[in-house]
Amino acid sequence: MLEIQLKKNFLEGGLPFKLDVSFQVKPGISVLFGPSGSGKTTILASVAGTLRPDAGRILAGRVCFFDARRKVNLPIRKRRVGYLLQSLALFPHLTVFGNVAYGLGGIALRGTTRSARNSQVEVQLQKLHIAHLANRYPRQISGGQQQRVALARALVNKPRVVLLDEPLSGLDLAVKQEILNDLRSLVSQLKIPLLYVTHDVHEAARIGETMIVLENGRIIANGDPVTVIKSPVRETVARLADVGNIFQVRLINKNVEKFAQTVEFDRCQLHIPLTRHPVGSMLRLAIHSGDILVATEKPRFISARNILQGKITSIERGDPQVSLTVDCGTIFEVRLTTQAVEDLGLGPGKQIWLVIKAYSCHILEE
Amino acid sequence: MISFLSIKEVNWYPVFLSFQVATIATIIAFVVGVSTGWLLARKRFPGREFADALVTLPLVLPPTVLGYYLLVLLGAHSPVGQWFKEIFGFRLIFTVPAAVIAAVLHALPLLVKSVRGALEDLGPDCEMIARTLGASEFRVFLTVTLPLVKRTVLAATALAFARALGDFGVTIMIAGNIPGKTQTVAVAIYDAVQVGRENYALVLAVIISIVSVTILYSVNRLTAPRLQR
Repeated sequence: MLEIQLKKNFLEGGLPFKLDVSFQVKPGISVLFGPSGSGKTTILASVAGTLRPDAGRILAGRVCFFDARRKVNLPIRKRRVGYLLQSLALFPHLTVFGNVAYGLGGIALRGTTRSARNSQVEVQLQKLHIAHLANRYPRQISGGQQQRVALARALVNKPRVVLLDEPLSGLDLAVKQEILNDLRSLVSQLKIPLLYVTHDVHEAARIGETMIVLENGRIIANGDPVTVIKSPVRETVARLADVGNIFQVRLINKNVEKFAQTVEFDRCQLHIPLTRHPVGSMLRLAIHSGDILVATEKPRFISARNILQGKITSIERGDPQVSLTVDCGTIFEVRLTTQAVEDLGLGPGKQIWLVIKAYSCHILEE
Repeated sequence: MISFLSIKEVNWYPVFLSFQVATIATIIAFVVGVSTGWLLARKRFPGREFADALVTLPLVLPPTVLGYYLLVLLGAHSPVGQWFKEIFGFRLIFTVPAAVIAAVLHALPLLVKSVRGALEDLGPDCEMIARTLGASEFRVFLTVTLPLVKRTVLAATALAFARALGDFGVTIMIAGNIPGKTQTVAVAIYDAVQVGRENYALVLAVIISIVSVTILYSVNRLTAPRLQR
Protein backbone atom coordinates (compact mmCIF):
# COMPACT_ATOMS: atom_id res chain seq x y z
CA MET A 1 0.00 0.00 0.00
CA LEU A 2 1.28 3.41 -0.98
CA GLU A 3 0.01 6.41 0.96
CA ILE A 4 0.45 9.78 -0.65
CA GLN A 5 -0.38 13.04 0.98
CA LEU A 6 1.42 16.03 -0.41
CA LYS A 7 1.36 19.73 -1.08
CA LYS A 8 3.59 21.59 -3.47
CA ASN A 9 3.45 25.15 -4.74
CA PHE A 10 5.40 26.20 -7.77
CA LEU A 11 5.30 28.36 -10.84
CA GLU A 12 4.13 26.72 -14.02
CA GLY A 13 4.70 28.88 -17.09
CA GLY A 14 4.81 31.96 -14.85
CA LEU A 15 1.52 31.11 -13.12
CA PRO A 16 1.31 29.84 -9.56
CA PHE A 17 0.32 26.19 -9.42
CA LYS A 18 -0.89 24.48 -6.28
CA LEU A 19 -0.79 20.72 -5.92
CA ASP A 20 -2.72 19.38 -2.95
CA VAL A 21 -3.57 15.68 -3.00
CA SER A 22 -4.16 12.84 -0.60
CA PHE A 23 -4.82 9.29 -1.70
CA GLN A 24 -3.85 5.66 -1.30
CA VAL A 25 -2.66 3.23 -3.94
CA LYS A 26 -3.42 -0.44 -3.44
CA PRO A 27 -1.31 -3.22 -4.94
CA GLY A 28 -2.23 -3.43 -8.60
CA ILE A 29 -2.51 -0.80 -11.29
CA SER A 30 -3.86 2.64 -10.48
CA VAL A 31 -4.16 5.14 -13.26
CA LEU A 32 -3.44 8.81 -12.67
CA PHE A 33 -5.50 10.54 -15.28
CA GLY A 34 -5.74 14.19 -16.17
CA PRO A 35 -4.76 16.84 -18.71
CA SER A 36 -1.17 17.96 -19.01
CA GLY A 37 -0.31 20.39 -16.26
CA SER A 38 -2.72 18.80 -13.77
CA GLY A 39 0.09 17.63 -11.49
CA LYS A 40 0.49 13.97 -12.48
CA THR A 41 4.21 14.09 -13.12
CA THR A 42 4.80 16.15 -9.97
CA ILE A 43 3.19 13.38 -7.92
CA LEU A 44 5.41 10.72 -9.51
CA ALA A 45 8.54 12.83 -9.02
CA SER A 46 7.67 13.30 -5.36
CA VAL A 47 7.25 9.57 -4.83
CA ALA A 48 10.50 8.82 -6.68
CA GLY A 49 12.28 11.48 -4.65
CA THR A 50 13.48 13.67 -7.49
CA LEU A 51 11.26 16.48 -6.27
CA ARG A 52 10.75 17.54 -2.68
CA PRO A 53 7.16 18.35 -1.66
CA ASP A 54 6.51 21.40 0.51
CA ALA A 55 4.47 19.44 2.99
CA GLY A 56 2.89 16.05 3.53
CA ARG A 57 3.88 12.43 3.87
CA ILE A 58 4.64 9.54 1.54
CA LEU A 59 4.61 6.00 2.90
CA ALA A 60 5.32 2.82 0.96
CA GLY A 61 4.06 0.08 3.21
CA ARG A 62 6.02 0.56 6.42
CA VAL A 63 8.82 2.52 4.75
CA CYS A 64 8.62 6.28 5.10
CA PHE A 65 9.81 8.02 1.92
CA PHE A 66 8.99 11.51 3.03
CA ASP A 67 7.53 13.19 6.08
CA ALA A 68 7.71 16.96 6.27
CA ARG A 69 6.79 17.06 9.94
CA ARG A 70 9.40 14.49 11.01
CA LYS A 71 11.89 15.91 8.50
CA VAL A 72 12.33 12.59 6.73
CA ASN A 73 13.38 12.60 3.09
CA LEU A 74 14.73 9.21 2.06
CA PRO A 75 17.40 9.49 -0.69
CA ILE A 76 16.27 8.35 -4.13
CA ARG A 77 18.59 5.35 -4.17
CA LYS A 78 17.19 3.99 -0.93
CA ARG A 79 13.54 4.20 -1.95
CA ARG A 80 13.63 1.26 -4.37
CA VAL A 81 11.16 2.75 -6.80
CA GLY A 82 10.80 1.42 -10.33
CA TYR A 83 10.50 4.57 -12.41
CA LEU A 84 9.71 4.51 -16.11
CA LEU A 85 9.99 7.86 -17.86
CA GLN A 86 8.43 8.85 -21.13
CA SER A 87 11.97 9.36 -22.46
CA LEU A 88 12.81 5.81 -21.21
CA ALA A 89 16.38 7.00 -20.49
CA LEU A 90 17.96 3.67 -21.39
CA PHE A 91 21.71 3.74 -20.84
CA PRO A 92 22.98 4.02 -24.43
CA HIS A 93 26.46 2.74 -23.57
CA LEU A 94 25.18 -0.49 -22.01
CA THR A 95 23.66 -3.52 -23.71
CA VAL A 96 20.09 -4.60 -23.01
CA PHE A 97 21.53 -7.04 -20.48
CA GLY A 98 23.68 -4.32 -18.90
CA ASN A 99 20.70 -1.99 -18.64
CA VAL A 100 18.56 -4.55 -16.84
CA ALA A 101 21.46 -5.71 -14.62
CA TYR A 102 22.28 -2.16 -13.49
CA GLY A 103 19.77 -2.19 -10.66
CA LEU A 104 21.18 -5.43 -9.26
CA GLY A 105 24.56 -4.08 -8.26
CA GLY A 106 27.85 -2.85 -9.58
CA ILE A 107 30.74 -4.41 -11.45
CA ALA A 108 32.20 -5.37 -8.07
CA LEU A 109 29.95 -8.43 -7.98
CA ARG A 110 31.96 -11.63 -8.21
CA GLY A 111 31.45 -15.38 -8.14
CA THR A 112 28.12 -16.67 -6.92
CA THR A 113 26.47 -13.28 -6.37
CA ARG A 114 27.42 -12.44 -9.93
CA SER A 115 25.98 -15.59 -11.43
CA ALA A 116 22.85 -15.24 -9.28
CA ARG A 117 22.44 -11.76 -10.64
CA ASN A 118 22.94 -12.92 -14.20
CA SER A 119 20.30 -15.60 -13.95
CA GLN A 120 17.91 -13.11 -12.37
CA VAL A 121 18.44 -10.77 -15.31
CA GLU A 122 17.89 -13.61 -17.77
CA VAL A 123 14.60 -14.57 -16.13
CA GLN A 124 13.46 -10.95 -16.27
CA LEU A 125 14.40 -10.67 -19.96
CA GLN A 126 12.43 -13.83 -20.70
CA LYS A 127 9.37 -12.56 -18.87
CA LEU A 128 9.33 -9.53 -21.14
CA HIS A 129 10.19 -11.56 -24.25
CA ILE A 130 13.46 -9.75 -24.95
CA ALA A 131 15.97 -12.47 -24.05
CA HIS A 132 17.11 -12.65 -27.67
CA LEU A 133 18.13 -8.97 -27.54
CA ALA A 134 20.43 -9.29 -24.51
CA ASN A 135 23.59 -8.30 -26.35
CA ARG A 136 22.14 -5.50 -28.44
CA TYR A 137 22.47 -1.83 -27.64
CA PRO A 138 19.37 0.35 -27.16
CA ARG A 139 19.88 2.14 -30.50
CA GLN A 140 19.82 -1.22 -32.31
CA ILE A 141 16.30 -2.21 -31.22
CA SER A 142 12.79 -0.96 -32.00
CA GLY A 143 10.71 1.46 -29.94
CA GLY A 144 8.49 -1.27 -28.54
CA GLN A 145 11.52 -3.36 -27.61
CA GLN A 146 13.08 -0.36 -25.89
CA GLN A 147 9.90 0.01 -23.83
CA ARG A 148 10.21 -3.60 -22.76
CA VAL A 149 13.85 -3.11 -21.76
CA ALA A 150 12.98 -0.04 -19.70
CA LEU A 151 10.16 -1.99 -18.06
CA ALA A 152 12.43 -4.96 -17.30
CA ARG A 153 15.00 -2.60 -15.78
CA ALA A 154 12.40 -0.83 -13.63
CA LEU A 155 10.97 -4.10 -12.27
CA VAL A 156 14.09 -6.24 -11.83
CA ASN A 157 15.11 -5.27 -8.30
CA LYS A 158 11.67 -5.94 -6.81
CA PRO A 159 10.67 -2.31 -6.30
CA ARG A 160 8.36 -1.24 -3.47
CA VAL A 161 6.45 0.98 -5.87
CA VAL A 162 6.37 1.26 -9.67
CA LEU A 163 5.82 4.59 -11.39
CA LEU A 164 5.08 4.81 -15.09
CA ASP A 165 4.96 8.23 -16.72
CA GLU A 166 3.08 7.92 -20.02
CA PRO A 167 5.31 5.01 -20.92
CA LEU A 168 3.53 3.91 -24.05
CA SER A 169 2.97 7.14 -25.88
CA GLY A 170 4.22 6.99 -29.43
CA LEU A 171 3.71 3.26 -29.86
CA ASP A 172 1.21 1.78 -32.25
CA LEU A 173 -1.88 0.21 -30.79
CA ALA A 174 -0.96 -3.46 -31.33
CA VAL A 175 2.44 -3.12 -29.65
CA LYS A 176 0.86 -1.12 -26.86
CA GLN A 177 -1.74 -3.86 -26.22
CA GLU A 178 0.91 -6.56 -25.97
CA ILE A 179 3.05 -4.57 -23.57
CA LEU A 180 0.04 -3.66 -21.43
CA ASN A 181 -0.89 -7.33 -21.16
CA ASP A 182 2.62 -8.32 -20.09
CA LEU A 183 2.76 -5.45 -17.63
CA ARG A 184 -0.53 -6.45 -16.10
CA SER A 185 0.53 -10.04 -15.52
CA LEU A 186 3.93 -8.99 -14.10
CA VAL A 187 2.36 -6.58 -11.65
CA SER A 188 -0.21 -9.08 -10.46
CA GLN A 189 2.65 -11.51 -9.71
CA LEU A 190 4.66 -8.86 -7.83
CA LYS A 191 1.70 -7.58 -5.77
CA ILE A 192 3.04 -4.04 -5.61
CA PRO A 193 1.31 -0.70 -6.10
CA LEU A 194 1.78 0.74 -9.55
CA LEU A 195 0.95 4.30 -10.53
CA TYR A 196 0.36 4.73 -14.23
CA VAL A 197 0.14 8.23 -15.65
CA THR A 198 -1.78 8.74 -18.84
CA HIS A 199 -4.02 11.25 -20.53
CA ASP A 200 -5.56 8.64 -22.81
CA VAL A 201 -8.91 7.62 -21.34
CA HIS A 202 -9.10 4.35 -23.26
CA GLU A 203 -5.68 3.35 -21.99
CA ALA A 204 -6.81 4.33 -18.49
CA ALA A 205 -9.96 2.22 -18.71
CA ARG A 206 -8.11 -0.69 -20.30
CA ILE A 207 -5.38 -1.04 -17.72
CA GLY A 208 -6.58 0.59 -14.54
CA GLU A 209 -8.07 -1.23 -11.61
CA THR A 210 -8.43 2.17 -10.01
CA MET A 211 -8.61 5.52 -11.69
CA ILE A 212 -7.64 8.77 -10.03
CA VAL A 213 -8.64 11.89 -11.92
CA LEU A 214 -6.61 15.05 -11.39
CA GLU A 215 -7.49 18.54 -12.41
CA ASN A 216 -5.55 21.69 -11.50
CA GLY A 217 -3.59 19.93 -8.79
CA ARG A 218 -6.59 18.35 -7.10
CA ILE A 219 -8.18 14.93 -7.17
CA ILE A 220 -11.67 15.21 -8.57
CA ALA A 221 -12.49 11.50 -8.72
CA ASN A 222 -11.05 8.26 -7.42
CA GLY A 223 -12.45 4.79 -7.93
CA ASP A 224 -13.23 2.02 -10.39
CA PRO A 225 -12.61 3.37 -13.93
CA VAL A 226 -16.11 2.72 -15.28
CA THR A 227 -17.73 4.28 -12.23
CA VAL A 228 -15.40 7.24 -12.39
CA ILE A 229 -16.07 7.83 -16.06
CA LYS A 230 -19.83 7.58 -15.51
CA SER A 231 -19.84 9.59 -12.29
CA PRO A 232 -20.97 13.24 -12.05
CA VAL A 233 -17.36 14.08 -12.83
CA ARG A 234 -18.01 12.57 -16.22
CA GLU A 235 -18.36 15.94 -17.90
CA THR A 236 -14.94 17.04 -16.76
CA VAL A 237 -13.44 13.73 -17.78
CA ALA A 238 -15.20 13.82 -21.11
CA ARG A 239 -14.01 17.31 -21.80
CA LEU A 240 -10.49 16.28 -20.86
CA ALA A 241 -10.18 13.36 -23.15
CA ASP A 242 -13.06 12.89 -25.57
CA VAL A 243 -14.32 9.95 -23.61
CA GLY A 244 -17.23 8.78 -25.67
CA ASN A 245 -19.10 5.80 -24.31
CA ILE A 246 -17.70 3.29 -21.89
CA PHE A 247 -19.94 0.61 -20.41
CA GLN A 248 -19.56 -2.25 -17.99
CA VAL A 249 -21.14 -5.18 -19.90
CA ARG A 250 -21.79 -8.89 -19.46
CA LEU A 251 -21.03 -11.34 -22.22
CA ILE A 252 -24.23 -13.38 -22.65
CA ASN A 253 -23.61 -15.55 -25.70
CA LYS A 254 -21.03 -16.41 -28.32
CA ASN A 255 -21.39 -17.51 -31.92
CA VAL A 256 -17.98 -18.84 -32.85
CA GLU A 257 -18.93 -19.75 -36.45
CA LYS A 258 -20.12 -16.26 -37.21
CA PHE A 259 -17.28 -14.59 -35.27
CA ALA A 260 -19.82 -12.72 -33.18
CA GLN A 261 -21.00 -12.44 -29.62
CA THR A 262 -23.62 -10.55 -27.65
CA VAL A 263 -23.18 -8.38 -24.60
CA GLU A 264 -25.84 -7.03 -22.29
CA PHE A 265 -25.90 -4.02 -20.02
CA ASP A 266 -28.71 -2.10 -18.37
CA ARG A 267 -31.57 -2.70 -20.82
CA CYS A 268 -29.45 -2.86 -23.97
CA GLN A 269 -27.93 -5.69 -25.96
CA LEU A 270 -25.15 -5.21 -28.49
CA HIS A 271 -23.64 -7.54 -31.08
CA ILE A 272 -19.89 -7.23 -31.12
CA PRO A 273 -16.97 -9.06 -32.77
CA LEU A 274 -15.82 -12.32 -31.17
CA THR A 275 -13.16 -12.17 -28.44
CA ARG A 276 -11.65 -14.99 -26.38
CA HIS A 277 -13.56 -14.18 -23.18
CA PRO A 278 -15.90 -16.86 -21.79
CA VAL A 279 -19.66 -16.36 -21.57
CA GLY A 280 -20.54 -14.59 -18.33
CA SER A 281 -17.40 -12.37 -18.27
CA MET A 282 -17.78 -8.79 -17.19
CA LEU A 283 -16.09 -6.58 -19.77
CA ARG A 284 -15.51 -2.91 -20.46
CA LEU A 285 -16.88 -1.79 -23.76
CA ALA A 286 -16.05 1.48 -25.50
CA ILE A 287 -17.85 3.11 -28.38
CA HIS A 288 -16.50 6.33 -29.78
CA SER A 289 -19.24 8.95 -29.83
CA GLY A 290 -18.41 9.83 -33.42
CA ASP A 291 -18.88 6.20 -34.55
CA ILE A 292 -22.63 6.16 -33.84
CA LEU A 293 -25.12 6.99 -36.64
CA VAL A 294 -28.50 8.57 -36.01
CA ALA A 295 -31.70 7.83 -37.99
CA THR A 296 -35.11 9.42 -37.55
CA GLU A 297 -36.90 6.32 -38.91
CA LYS A 298 -36.09 2.73 -38.11
CA PRO A 299 -33.45 1.78 -40.69
CA ARG A 300 -33.99 -1.36 -42.80
CA PHE A 301 -31.64 -3.18 -45.18
CA ILE A 302 -28.54 -2.05 -43.37
CA SER A 303 -25.38 -3.99 -42.53
CA ALA A 304 -24.89 -2.47 -39.08
CA ARG A 305 -25.75 -5.09 -36.44
CA ASN A 306 -27.04 -2.82 -33.70
CA ILE A 307 -30.10 -0.61 -33.97
CA LEU A 308 -31.32 0.88 -30.71
CA GLN A 309 -34.40 2.97 -30.23
CA GLY A 310 -34.05 5.98 -27.94
CA LYS A 311 -34.98 9.50 -27.08
CA ILE A 312 -32.76 12.58 -27.19
CA THR A 313 -32.44 13.95 -23.67
CA SER A 314 -30.16 16.90 -24.36
CA ILE A 315 -28.25 18.65 -27.09
CA GLU A 316 -25.04 20.53 -26.49
CA ARG A 317 -23.89 22.70 -29.35
CA GLY A 318 -20.14 22.97 -29.67
CA ASP A 319 -18.01 24.10 -32.52
CA PRO A 320 -17.83 22.34 -34.97
CA GLN A 321 -19.63 19.31 -33.49
CA VAL A 322 -22.88 18.83 -31.65
CA SER A 323 -23.06 16.45 -28.74
CA LEU A 324 -26.31 14.54 -28.11
CA THR A 325 -27.21 12.48 -25.11
CA VAL A 326 -29.63 9.74 -26.01
CA ASP A 327 -31.57 7.51 -23.61
CA CYS A 328 -31.88 3.96 -24.96
CA GLY A 329 -32.34 2.38 -21.55
CA THR A 330 -28.82 3.54 -20.86
CA ILE A 331 -27.32 6.89 -21.82
CA PHE A 332 -25.29 7.13 -25.01
CA GLU A 333 -23.24 10.10 -26.11
CA VAL A 334 -23.35 10.79 -29.84
CA ARG A 335 -21.46 13.38 -31.84
CA LEU A 336 -22.82 14.78 -35.07
CA THR A 337 -22.08 17.72 -37.32
CA THR A 338 -24.21 20.85 -36.98
CA GLN A 339 -25.42 20.21 -40.55
CA ALA A 340 -26.68 16.71 -39.69
CA VAL A 341 -28.53 17.97 -36.63
CA GLU A 342 -30.27 20.69 -38.69
CA ASP A 343 -31.15 18.43 -41.63
CA LEU A 344 -32.71 15.79 -39.37
CA GLY A 345 -34.45 18.39 -37.23
CA LEU A 346 -33.06 16.89 -34.04
CA GLY A 347 -34.05 18.31 -30.69
CA PRO A 348 -34.60 17.22 -27.11
CA GLY A 349 -37.46 14.68 -26.73
CA LYS A 350 -37.26 13.44 -30.32
CA GLN A 351 -37.49 9.69 -30.96
CA ILE A 352 -34.48 8.41 -32.89
CA TRP A 353 -32.63 5.20 -33.71
CA LEU A 354 -28.93 4.74 -33.01
CA VAL A 355 -27.02 2.64 -35.54
CA ILE A 356 -23.80 1.04 -34.32
CA LYS A 357 -21.55 -1.29 -36.32
CA ALA A 358 -20.28 -4.33 -34.46
CA TYR A 359 -16.74 -3.28 -35.32
CA SER A 360 -17.26 0.11 -33.66
CA CYS A 361 -17.61 -1.68 -30.32
CA HIS A 362 -14.25 -2.10 -28.62
CA ILE A 363 -13.57 -4.35 -25.67
CA LEU A 364 -11.12 -2.53 -23.42
CA GLU A 365 -9.96 -5.49 -21.37
CA GLU A 366 -7.82 -8.06 -23.10
CA MET B 1 69.48 29.16 -46.48
CA ILE B 2 67.64 27.11 -43.85
CA SER B 3 68.68 23.51 -43.60
CA PHE B 4 67.81 20.71 -41.19
CA LEU B 5 70.29 19.97 -38.50
CA SER B 6 71.54 16.46 -37.88
CA ILE B 7 69.91 14.71 -34.94
CA LYS B 8 73.08 15.04 -32.86
CA GLU B 9 73.26 18.80 -33.24
CA VAL B 10 69.71 19.38 -31.96
CA ASN B 11 69.22 20.25 -28.30
CA TRP B 12 66.32 17.97 -27.40
CA TYR B 13 65.82 19.28 -23.88
CA PRO B 14 62.99 21.76 -24.74
CA VAL B 15 61.08 18.98 -26.52
CA PHE B 16 61.31 16.60 -23.55
CA LEU B 17 60.45 19.39 -21.14
CA SER B 18 57.44 20.49 -23.18
CA PHE B 19 56.03 16.96 -23.32
CA GLN B 20 56.70 16.43 -19.64
CA VAL B 21 55.03 19.70 -18.66
CA ALA B 22 52.09 19.16 -21.02
CA THR B 23 51.49 15.61 -19.74
CA ILE B 24 51.49 16.58 -16.06
CA ALA B 25 49.42 19.69 -16.80
CA THR B 26 46.86 17.65 -18.77
CA ILE B 27 46.43 15.17 -15.93
CA ILE B 28 45.87 17.99 -13.43
CA ALA B 29 43.61 19.90 -15.83
CA PHE B 30 41.60 16.71 -16.47
CA VAL B 31 40.81 16.11 -12.81
CA VAL B 32 40.14 19.77 -12.02
CA GLY B 33 38.36 20.44 -15.32
CA VAL B 34 36.00 17.45 -15.23
CA SER B 35 34.96 18.10 -11.65
CA THR B 36 34.55 21.84 -12.24
CA GLY B 37 32.54 21.20 -15.41
CA TRP B 38 30.33 18.76 -13.50
CA LEU B 39 29.80 21.25 -10.67
CA LEU B 40 28.88 24.01 -13.10
CA ALA B 41 26.47 21.80 -15.02
CA ARG B 42 24.81 19.94 -12.16
CA LYS B 43 24.87 22.10 -9.04
CA ARG B 44 23.17 25.39 -8.32
CA PHE B 45 25.21 27.74 -6.17
CA PRO B 46 25.63 31.50 -5.93
CA GLY B 47 28.31 32.87 -8.22
CA ARG B 48 28.08 29.89 -10.57
CA GLU B 49 28.26 31.94 -13.76
CA PHE B 50 30.99 34.10 -12.26
CA ALA B 51 33.04 30.99 -11.53
CA ASP B 52 32.50 29.87 -15.12
CA ALA B 53 33.67 33.25 -16.41
CA LEU B 54 36.74 33.12 -14.19
CA VAL B 55 37.75 29.67 -15.44
CA THR B 56 37.17 30.75 -19.05
CA LEU B 57 39.23 33.91 -18.70
CA PRO B 58 42.55 32.37 -19.89
CA LEU B 59 40.84 31.71 -23.21
CA VAL B 60 40.36 35.43 -23.92
CA LEU B 61 42.91 37.25 -21.78
CA PRO B 62 46.28 38.09 -23.38
CA PRO B 63 48.71 35.45 -22.04
CA THR B 64 51.01 38.16 -20.74
CA VAL B 65 48.20 39.60 -18.60
CA LEU B 66 47.50 36.17 -17.16
CA GLY B 67 51.23 35.66 -16.62
CA TYR B 68 51.47 39.00 -14.88
CA TYR B 69 48.67 38.11 -12.46
CA LEU B 70 50.33 34.81 -11.70
CA LEU B 71 53.65 36.54 -11.16
CA VAL B 72 52.00 38.80 -8.60
CA LEU B 73 50.06 35.95 -7.04
CA LEU B 74 52.84 33.33 -6.89
CA GLY B 75 55.96 35.57 -6.80
CA ALA B 76 58.66 35.13 -4.17
CA HIS B 77 57.20 37.89 -2.00
CA SER B 78 53.55 36.84 -2.28
CA PRO B 79 51.93 34.76 0.50
CA VAL B 80 51.55 31.79 -1.85
CA GLY B 81 55.15 32.07 -3.01
CA GLN B 82 56.46 32.23 0.57
CA TRP B 83 54.30 29.34 1.65
CA PHE B 84 55.59 27.27 -1.28
CA LYS B 85 59.20 28.06 -0.39
CA GLU B 86 58.63 27.05 3.24
CA ILE B 87 57.12 23.70 2.27
CA PHE B 88 59.35 22.70 -0.65
CA GLY B 89 62.50 24.65 0.10
CA PHE B 90 62.73 26.41 -3.27
CA ARG B 91 60.87 29.27 -4.84
CA LEU B 92 58.04 28.49 -7.24
CA ILE B 93 58.57 31.14 -9.82
CA PHE B 94 60.91 30.39 -12.78
CA THR B 95 60.82 26.63 -12.19
CA VAL B 96 59.29 23.65 -13.97
CA PRO B 97 56.27 23.54 -11.56
CA ALA B 98 55.58 27.14 -12.58
CA ALA B 99 55.59 26.03 -16.23
CA VAL B 100 53.10 23.30 -15.28
CA ILE B 101 50.82 25.85 -13.60
CA ALA B 102 50.97 28.01 -16.71
CA ALA B 103 50.05 25.05 -18.92
CA VAL B 104 47.21 23.96 -16.61
CA LEU B 105 45.61 27.40 -16.67
CA HIS B 106 45.98 27.52 -20.40
CA ALA B 107 44.34 24.12 -20.91
CA LEU B 108 41.65 24.25 -18.22
CA PRO B 109 38.95 26.33 -19.99
CA LEU B 110 38.76 23.84 -22.87
CA LEU B 111 37.96 20.98 -20.51
CA VAL B 112 35.58 22.89 -18.26
CA LYS B 113 33.62 24.33 -21.17
CA SER B 114 33.20 21.09 -23.07
CA VAL B 115 32.42 18.97 -20.00
CA ARG B 116 29.81 21.48 -18.86
CA GLY B 117 28.29 21.65 -22.34
CA ALA B 118 28.22 17.87 -22.75
CA LEU B 119 26.60 17.34 -19.34
CA GLU B 120 24.00 19.99 -19.95
CA ASP B 121 23.14 18.47 -23.34
CA LEU B 122 22.89 15.06 -21.74
CA GLY B 123 19.93 15.98 -19.56
CA PRO B 124 19.28 14.52 -16.12
CA ASP B 125 17.12 11.49 -17.03
CA CYS B 126 19.75 8.72 -17.26
CA GLU B 127 21.43 9.80 -14.05
CA MET B 128 18.09 10.05 -12.27
CA ILE B 129 17.08 6.56 -13.35
CA ALA B 130 20.45 5.21 -12.16
CA ARG B 131 19.72 6.70 -8.73
CA THR B 132 16.27 5.09 -8.59
CA LEU B 133 18.04 1.80 -9.33
CA GLY B 134 20.00 2.19 -6.13
CA ALA B 135 23.28 3.64 -7.40
CA SER B 136 25.28 6.02 -5.21
CA GLU B 137 26.30 9.43 -6.57
CA PHE B 138 29.83 8.14 -7.10
CA ARG B 139 28.63 5.08 -9.01
CA VAL B 140 26.27 7.22 -11.10
CA PHE B 141 29.15 9.50 -12.04
CA LEU B 142 31.53 6.67 -12.93
CA THR B 143 29.11 4.31 -14.68
CA VAL B 144 26.61 6.66 -16.30
CA THR B 145 27.76 10.26 -16.46
CA LEU B 146 31.36 9.74 -17.56
CA PRO B 147 30.70 7.04 -20.17
CA LEU B 148 28.00 9.19 -21.73
CA VAL B 149 30.31 12.17 -22.18
CA LYS B 150 33.38 10.01 -22.83
CA ARG B 151 33.98 11.10 -26.40
CA THR B 152 33.61 14.79 -25.67
CA VAL B 153 35.87 14.52 -22.64
CA LEU B 154 38.53 12.59 -24.58
CA ALA B 155 38.46 15.11 -27.40
CA ALA B 156 38.69 18.02 -24.98
CA THR B 157 41.58 16.33 -23.16
CA ALA B 158 43.47 15.93 -26.42
CA LEU B 159 42.91 19.59 -27.26
CA ALA B 160 43.96 20.57 -23.75
CA PHE B 161 47.18 18.61 -24.22
CA ALA B 162 47.89 20.38 -27.49
CA ARG B 163 47.25 23.74 -25.89
CA ALA B 164 49.40 22.92 -22.87
CA LEU B 165 52.18 21.88 -25.24
CA GLY B 166 52.14 25.15 -27.10
CA ASP B 167 51.83 27.77 -24.37
CA PHE B 168 54.25 30.66 -24.79
CA GLY B 169 53.05 33.84 -23.09
CA VAL B 170 52.17 32.59 -19.62
CA THR B 171 55.21 30.29 -19.54
CA ILE B 172 57.72 32.99 -20.38
CA MET B 173 56.19 35.31 -17.76
CA ILE B 174 56.24 32.94 -14.80
CA ALA B 175 58.62 30.13 -15.76
CA GLY B 176 61.01 32.30 -17.68
CA ASN B 177 63.46 31.35 -20.37
CA ILE B 178 66.22 29.43 -18.64
CA PRO B 179 67.90 27.09 -21.18
CA GLY B 180 68.21 23.55 -19.90
CA LYS B 181 65.80 24.34 -17.05
CA THR B 182 62.52 26.04 -17.94
CA GLN B 183 62.94 26.58 -21.66
CA THR B 184 60.01 24.83 -23.39
CA VAL B 185 59.73 24.36 -27.16
CA ALA B 186 57.59 27.46 -27.70
CA VAL B 187 60.04 29.58 -25.77
CA ALA B 188 63.09 27.92 -27.37
CA ILE B 189 61.76 28.73 -30.85
CA TYR B 190 61.42 32.39 -29.92
CA ASP B 191 64.92 32.30 -28.46
CA ALA B 192 66.41 30.57 -31.53
CA VAL B 193 64.89 33.10 -33.91
CA GLN B 194 66.18 35.97 -31.77
CA VAL B 195 69.77 34.72 -32.01
CA GLY B 196 69.49 33.73 -35.66
CA ARG B 197 69.50 29.92 -35.24
CA GLU B 198 66.71 29.63 -37.75
CA ASN B 199 67.26 25.96 -38.64
CA TYR B 200 66.91 24.97 -34.97
CA ALA B 201 63.68 26.99 -34.77
CA LEU B 202 62.45 25.16 -37.87
CA VAL B 203 63.10 21.70 -36.43
CA LEU B 204 61.21 22.55 -33.22
CA ALA B 205 58.37 24.19 -35.15
CA VAL B 206 57.98 21.11 -37.37
CA ILE B 207 57.90 18.78 -34.36
CA ILE B 208 55.21 20.85 -32.61
CA SER B 209 53.21 21.16 -35.84
CA ILE B 210 53.24 17.41 -36.52
CA VAL B 211 52.12 16.64 -32.98
CA SER B 212 49.38 19.26 -33.13
CA VAL B 213 48.06 18.07 -36.50
CA THR B 214 48.00 14.47 -35.22
CA ILE B 215 46.04 15.56 -32.15
CA LEU B 216 43.55 17.63 -34.13
CA TYR B 217 43.02 14.75 -36.54
CA SER B 218 42.29 12.33 -33.70
CA VAL B 219 39.94 14.86 -32.11
CA ASN B 220 38.00 15.10 -35.35
CA ARG B 221 37.79 11.33 -35.54
CA LEU B 222 36.59 11.16 -31.95
CA THR B 223 33.87 13.75 -32.33
CA ALA B 224 32.68 12.68 -35.79
CA PRO B 225 29.04 11.56 -35.83
CA ARG B 226 28.68 7.83 -35.21
CA LEU B 227 27.21 7.05 -38.61
CA GLN B 228 30.17 8.35 -40.54
CA ARG B 229 32.70 6.23 -38.74
